[in-house]
Amino acid sequence: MKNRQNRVVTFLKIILKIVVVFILVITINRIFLPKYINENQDGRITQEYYPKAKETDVIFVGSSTVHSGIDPRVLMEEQGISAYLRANASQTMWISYYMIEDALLWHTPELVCIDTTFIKYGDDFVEEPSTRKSLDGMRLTPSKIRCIRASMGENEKMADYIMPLFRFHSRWKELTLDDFRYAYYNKPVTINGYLPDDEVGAAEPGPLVYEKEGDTELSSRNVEYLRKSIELCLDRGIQVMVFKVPAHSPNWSRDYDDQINDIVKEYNLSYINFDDKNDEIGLDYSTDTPDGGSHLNASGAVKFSRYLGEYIRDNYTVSDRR
Amino acid sequence: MSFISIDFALFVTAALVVYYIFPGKIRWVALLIASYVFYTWTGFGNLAYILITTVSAYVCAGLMEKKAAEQQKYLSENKEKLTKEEKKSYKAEVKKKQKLILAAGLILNFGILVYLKYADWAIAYINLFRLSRFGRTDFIPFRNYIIPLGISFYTFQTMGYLIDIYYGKYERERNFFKFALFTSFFPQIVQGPISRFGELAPELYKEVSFDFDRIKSGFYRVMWGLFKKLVIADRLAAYVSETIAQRETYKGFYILLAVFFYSMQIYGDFSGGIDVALGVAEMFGIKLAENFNRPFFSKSISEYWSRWHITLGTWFKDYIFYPLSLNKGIIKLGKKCREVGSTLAGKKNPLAGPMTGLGKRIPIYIPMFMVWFTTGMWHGSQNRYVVWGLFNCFFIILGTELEPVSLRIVEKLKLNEAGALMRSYRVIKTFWLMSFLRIFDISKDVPSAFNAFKLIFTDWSSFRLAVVYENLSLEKEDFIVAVIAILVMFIFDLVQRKGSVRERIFRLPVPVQWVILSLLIVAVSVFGYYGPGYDAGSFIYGAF
Repeated sequence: MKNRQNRVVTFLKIILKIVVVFILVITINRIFLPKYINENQDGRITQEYYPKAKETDVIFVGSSTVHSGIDPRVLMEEQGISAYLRANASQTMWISYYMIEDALLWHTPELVCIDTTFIKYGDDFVEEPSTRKSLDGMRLTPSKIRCIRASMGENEKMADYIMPLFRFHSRWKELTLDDFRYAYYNKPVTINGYLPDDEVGAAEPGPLVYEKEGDTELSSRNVEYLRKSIELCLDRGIQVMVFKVPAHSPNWSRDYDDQINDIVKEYNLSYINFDDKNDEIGLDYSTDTPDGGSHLNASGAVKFSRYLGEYIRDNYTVSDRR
Repeated sequence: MSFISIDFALFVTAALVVYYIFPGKIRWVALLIASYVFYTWTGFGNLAYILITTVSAYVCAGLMEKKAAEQQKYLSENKEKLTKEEKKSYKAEVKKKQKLILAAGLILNFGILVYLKYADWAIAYINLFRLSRFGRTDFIPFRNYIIPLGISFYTFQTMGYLIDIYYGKYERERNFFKFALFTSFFPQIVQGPISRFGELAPELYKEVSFDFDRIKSGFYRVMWGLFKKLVIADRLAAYVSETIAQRETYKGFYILLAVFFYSMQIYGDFSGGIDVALGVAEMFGIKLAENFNRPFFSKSISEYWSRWHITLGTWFKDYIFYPLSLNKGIIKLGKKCREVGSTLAGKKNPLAGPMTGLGKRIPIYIPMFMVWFTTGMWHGSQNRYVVWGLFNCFFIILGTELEPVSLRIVEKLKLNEAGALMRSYRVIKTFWLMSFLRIFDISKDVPSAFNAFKLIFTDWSSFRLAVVYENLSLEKEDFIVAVIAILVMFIFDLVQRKGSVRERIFRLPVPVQWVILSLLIVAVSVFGYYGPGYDAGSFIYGAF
């Protein structure tokens, strides 16, 4: 009997030791992970979703054009739509897919809106800082593992994403009080994923959509993940909207629109490039952009969100939370 | 698979789980599988080399044993018929055959090692000779062989076994797979230690039971090894190489600092790697031979070499030094010199004394020369390593020859040879002498090494710490961490003089033990040079 008791005590001691090491490792990881509080705030978008997951009816995925161009406050105030933007800088179509997959682990929304701005980039697009900002805040689930595998560059390692300390331990020289303060306390810095930009940087006059020269065929991987995103939502009975945030960018081509249209039609969906609704939205690229038309600023976001809210209300069935 | 990788950590964890799941009696099989998985991971092509070594040594040992058995049988069957002379002659005949088998094994295995390591070195000299002698510019192309991981270590270990079998020191291992484990045991294959069959085999094949404390102890050692490698050695590497490469710009104290840091780097790197190997082996319940015994506390070069890379030193001593000392030719030469000495003494010639002395020393100095020449060659296929080895030999001989003079000086100055002052003096002298010799290690060739040594004594006034921080890849914060870490390593070695530091830690209250372990984990994971942003170097001795 005593022998058995001793064994139980030994076992509990081992477990306790493992727990202590685990807490230590987690804490060190949290201290060293960039906090994205005072700069690069888009790094907070992914993690700030989780506390709000249950109250989110519409999820937007896409790149920086989404997190700077859609104001969820306008959607809520004017249409009662509760939305969250899971959109980070340079977020590829495959990361967007895993953003949806990860979101569905916590809550099933009524509508998923997929922005296609980044679909034009090649299969081999890798930008480590952006990938990190998208993934560092994601909870550790099989989705995250798959997302890391799909996103990381040639010289990156899975372990560096799972244990951010391996990637960021060199920050010991630049740690500030904020790194300790926000290790466990998550101060929200985004507005449901929205990061308003008040700057104004007028765009050069010119057409909104160009006839881009050269190869404009969408890469197979981008197409594959657009399809996977749509299928994932439809399989779960979630409505899907495929769209492109308005921008004044010479990098977009009508050919892209045509190819996306062909894909979504196969699923009986429609695709909308909001550049085509510019007059109705009322965007003025001399005042509504911070960077010559690549993104919308706060005033542009309000205009676009107002129009977008009405569009969603008219075309999809989404709860009114007002 | 590097010792410093998540892959290795996961591999060891998985191997440990499988090892302790296996029934006690066949746990060695799990180790063999793990060792071959590990080795295959380093490159499928490398597998052929280790298999050749394993199979050839196994076959040669078997043949030698067969000859011995035949001899025993023949002699017992013909006990009455054979005269003493005939028995002697028969034994000599058998010994000759065994020698041939041994030679075949040694030539094959050392041949592979020498060919892979020194082919390009030889080609360079052949090309040079052809150019200077015949003006030929159609150079033989370099082979650029990739040296299989740990080939020097497992070749030396296995050939040591073969020689021991020849001398009848052990019975050969009959189970091929057990023998294969002896040649390939994964923790020691990267950079040693070079184990002896008599010590390692019982450890490998014994029945080991699970013991959490032993795993904890091994883990401590692994972390301590990683501390030395990642926090000290890799942090200093860039400063050392940049300073030596730009020695004309950063001379004087910059080079002296680089020399000091290189001693810390090579010790942290090599002994750190050995700590990882020994720590991992300990987790499997296997005790490997120690390879370091606080070498920087040595009072002479000979003592230093009995504390640094101990297993290589004893290998050379046992398989080169002693056989050569007992070589009939060398003994004869020594005897001849002594005879000449006594003849000269009869004629009252002043050379009589030195000649007699030389006669006594020949059986020691010739083998010593060979040992150091080989040690130099073992370290690399460049002249600078050979010169480094011979300088070591020179200083050891000088130290021995000048010892009476040194003792006389100490006596005249009325100093206490055993006192702290003299001990410290000898320790510091030995440390710096060994550090200066290491310049050959970090320079690209022999002239560069002499040049670097010369430049140490110039322009000390230009030294600025700010230049170290800004121009020589050792930022202020890194410099401070390096200095603190070196101090920690020094204190650790100092405490170790009175016994195992880990055992002392384990006698402390459990919370204190955990604080120490936590600090070690934090120090390694935070201050270690690894991962993106740092290019964690592979172990220096891993290339040998």
